[in-house]
Parts: sequence; structure tokens; C-alpha cells
Amino acid sequence: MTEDLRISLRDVGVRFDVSARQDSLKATVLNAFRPGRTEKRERRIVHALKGVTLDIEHGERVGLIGLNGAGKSTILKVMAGIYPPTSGEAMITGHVSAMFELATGFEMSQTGWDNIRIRGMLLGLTPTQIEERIHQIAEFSELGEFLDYPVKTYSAGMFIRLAFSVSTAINPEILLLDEVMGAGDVQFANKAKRRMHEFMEQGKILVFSSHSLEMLASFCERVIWMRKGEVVMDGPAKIVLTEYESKAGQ
Amino acid sequence: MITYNSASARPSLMEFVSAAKLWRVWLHMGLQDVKSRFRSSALGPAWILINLGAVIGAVGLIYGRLFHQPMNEFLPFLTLGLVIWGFISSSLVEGSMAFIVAEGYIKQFPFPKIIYLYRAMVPYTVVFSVGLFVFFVSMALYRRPMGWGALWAVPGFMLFLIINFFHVVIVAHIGVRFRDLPHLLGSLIQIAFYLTPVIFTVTMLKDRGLAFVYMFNPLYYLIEIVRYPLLNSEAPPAEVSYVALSYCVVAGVAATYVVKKMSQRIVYVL
Repeated sequence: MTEDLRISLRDVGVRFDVSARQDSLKATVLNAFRPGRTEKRERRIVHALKGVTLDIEHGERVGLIGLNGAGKSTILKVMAGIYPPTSGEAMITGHVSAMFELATGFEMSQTGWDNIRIRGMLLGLTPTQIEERIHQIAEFSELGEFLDYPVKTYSAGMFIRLAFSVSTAINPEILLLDEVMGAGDVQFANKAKRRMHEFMEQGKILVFSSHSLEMLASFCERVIWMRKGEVVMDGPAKIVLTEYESKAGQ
Repeated sequence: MITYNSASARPSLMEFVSAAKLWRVWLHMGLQDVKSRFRSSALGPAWILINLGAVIGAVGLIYGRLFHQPMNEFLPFLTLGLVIWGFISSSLVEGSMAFIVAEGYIKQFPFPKIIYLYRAMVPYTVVFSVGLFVFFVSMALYRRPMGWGALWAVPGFMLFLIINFFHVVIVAHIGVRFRDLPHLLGSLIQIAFYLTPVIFTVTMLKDRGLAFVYMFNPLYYLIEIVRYPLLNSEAPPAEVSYVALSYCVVAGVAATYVVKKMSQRIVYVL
């Protein structure tokens, strides 16, 4: 890959229309016949991101910090191309690997093996690559014979083991992580931590959100502090983290 | 480089092409869907055959008598009609769930979401192929001749596939926004079944002065582009092809409009 990897957001905004979620066909049809009523229904719009502009260059390791609901997950999903910005523009050069929700996106009636294959494909692996790696993945997950069972029989922890093992078996270019530390039970969590560290070393660009200041300090040179969908501060990790701590994480 | 714009300037057509190139992914997922439907059932995919066989047996024997139809004509006609109808009805009813069932993937993996529409079409095609096999068996059993003209069904099926894909595109997008849609379409398709020549023939309608029932029914033409060549071993009448092609254009325009309007919002509404 000769091209330089790069993430660049220009005045990116994301709005959710929360009221649209509960809409039914009936309500819309009825409202069409009652023009007076349509205005009454309150449109509830959430601004998850407001005019965010930033550039992340090849080789950067960037941490995201902020309270729950500050827009960390949203901005990661914009970078991944999952959320199309509702205003502004996002340009991403390079193949994006993302690890967001480990507990969703399974075919419940299919076996662990089948789910490894599907997940591997969705992460961008070719079928040959999957077959080459599937035994390592299985071994790492320590799920043993459970892999032969449909995943609907799995416990929450087992889902995470499975997803984590597949997700970290790829060679990421741009790696986006959303608070995925501490997967599974104590024993697995330690192992996962080590694997995660190796994995994060591989990413040519790494962007991750975390509530652990310690982790952010040890992994990134740059930290972006977000609050209510806006960037509060963007700079060298030490300075931003000190400032964040002194404001007690507002 | 991938650019995501807020404006609808993002080329939607490209998403369809790049998704099609990922055929290994959606084909695999689609085939897994078929497999998992029959997992841990003793007979497995043979159930497709049994279902079809039972319906054809029951409906064919009773209605064939009721309508005074010669069995060697009526049974193959009925088989083919039901098989084609199954495809149309799955595309509309199950198709409206295509994005909803893939929610976990759409929110998590940066993949063109159109792959979940292609994936949805795979099981319908598998079931259709099994049904087609039954049809050929029924033709052979009644020693009905088939000529080269039956190959007209190939372009017919292509057109049929495209139209059904447009159906899936439309209902999948709208289905995310309006969760009532699968139920609504389920009822409508059931009504449409009784208004479309599947278990009764066009001749029966004509004889009773009810020709309008099929003439103004686009689904009739959609069925006929595949059924006519296979039953008669010749190209379908010109007006059938014209109506089907025009319907394809209309559905295509509607699908484009829906994609332009809703594609960007899908992930937010899911």
C-alpha cells in the first residue's frame, strides 16, 4: 500500500431523529389525514456530533475520552463508515477494521464455527485466510466443544470470547476500538489484554475510546476529549489527560 | 479512498456494484441461512420438497377436479405457478425484514449494506430451484414435450430476478422505518394470491368475463415471463414481455428513489 492512510473529518455532524423510531405506518397514515396533528407531535432530535473537524495521519495512536454519551462511539462509527454524517464530510483512506459491540451480530441457530466464518468474512478475511486461522481462533477462544453447538446456547461471556477471538485475528490497517477491554472472566481477561496490546501495536492508525486514563496514557500520543458531541480539547496525551483529570471528567 | 458525504451525492449505484463483488460473503451467508433453517430437523431441505409436494397434491387433485382440468396440463401449471409465486411472496414479505435481521451486522461492520439484500435473495433462489426441479419431474411424468423454446425462460427469469430484487430493495428500506410492513405485505400478498392466475388459469377467467382480473395485475405478467415459455416452449406473447419490462422500469425508478431517500438513514433508524 503506497497510499498514506488517513482519516479526515470536515465539520461532521450527526443527528438522530429519535421520534422516528417509534413511528408506525398507522400513525403516519392517520397523520396524513389530520394535517393539524402532524405539527403537534414533537420531533425529538439528538445531536450526537456537532461540527467535528479533525485529521488523523498515518502512524498516529489516538485516544478518545469523555463521559458516556459524549459522542465517542458515534465518532468512531463515522470513521468506520457505519454512520454516514448528516452534515459535513468524512474521508477515510485505508481499510478500516472496527471492534465495537462484541455481544451482537451472531447467527443464533448456527454453530460457533459457522459464526467464526461469517464474522471473519465481515471483518474482511477471505475464505482461505479464515480456514488458515480458524484453529488458532478456536484455540484462543477456549470454547472447545461448545463451538460445535448453536451459539444460542452460549452465555454472554462466551459470545464475547468468540467475537474477541475472531476480531483480533485480522491484520488491521486502521483500527477503531470502542471500550472493548476486559472481555470475559478474569482468566480470559488477562489473556485478552495481552492479545489486545499486540493487536493494537499492529494498527497503522489506531483510534480507541476508553475510560481508563492509564491505558490512554500508555497507548497514545494524542488524546481527544469530547463533551456533548463536540471536541473540547485535542492535543498531546499528557496535557489533555491532566486537564481532563483536573476538571474531574466533566 | 472512501468519502462519506452528508449530501446524497454519494454514488448509490457504486454501493450495489461493490456489494455484488463481495459475492463470497453474501452467498455464504445466504446458504448458511438455508442450512440453519433446516438444522436439527431430521429431513432437512427435503422439507422444501415435501411442502411443495403436499400443497400440489392437495390443491391439484381437488381444484383440478373442481375446475374440470386435465391433470397432465393442470399439475405442471400449478406447480410452476406456486413455485414462482413463492419467490415473489418471499421477496416482498421476508424481503421487508432483510435489513432488520442484519441489524447486528449493519451497526458493527463497515460493509456495504446492500450485501444483506443480495443475501436475502439466496434462500428464495434455492427454494425456487428445488421447485423447478419438481416441475420438470411433473412434466416428465405426464410425458409433456419440451422444446428449445423453453429457453425463453432464461431471459424471462433474469428479468424476474431483477424485478424481485427491486421489490426487495424497496420493501427492505421501507420495512426498517415502518415495522408494520411485513404484516401488511403478508396480508396483501395473500389477497393478491386469489386475484392472480396461480391456481386458476387465464382461460377460466376469460370464459367468465373476468379477464380484467389478470389484465390489470402486474404480478400476472411477472409470473408469465417465466411460466409461459416453460409450459409452451415458445416466447411469451409480446404484450406480456412489454408489460413486464415496463413494470421493471417502474420498479427500478421506485427503488432508486427509495435508496436515494432512505439509504443514509437506515443505520440511524435500525
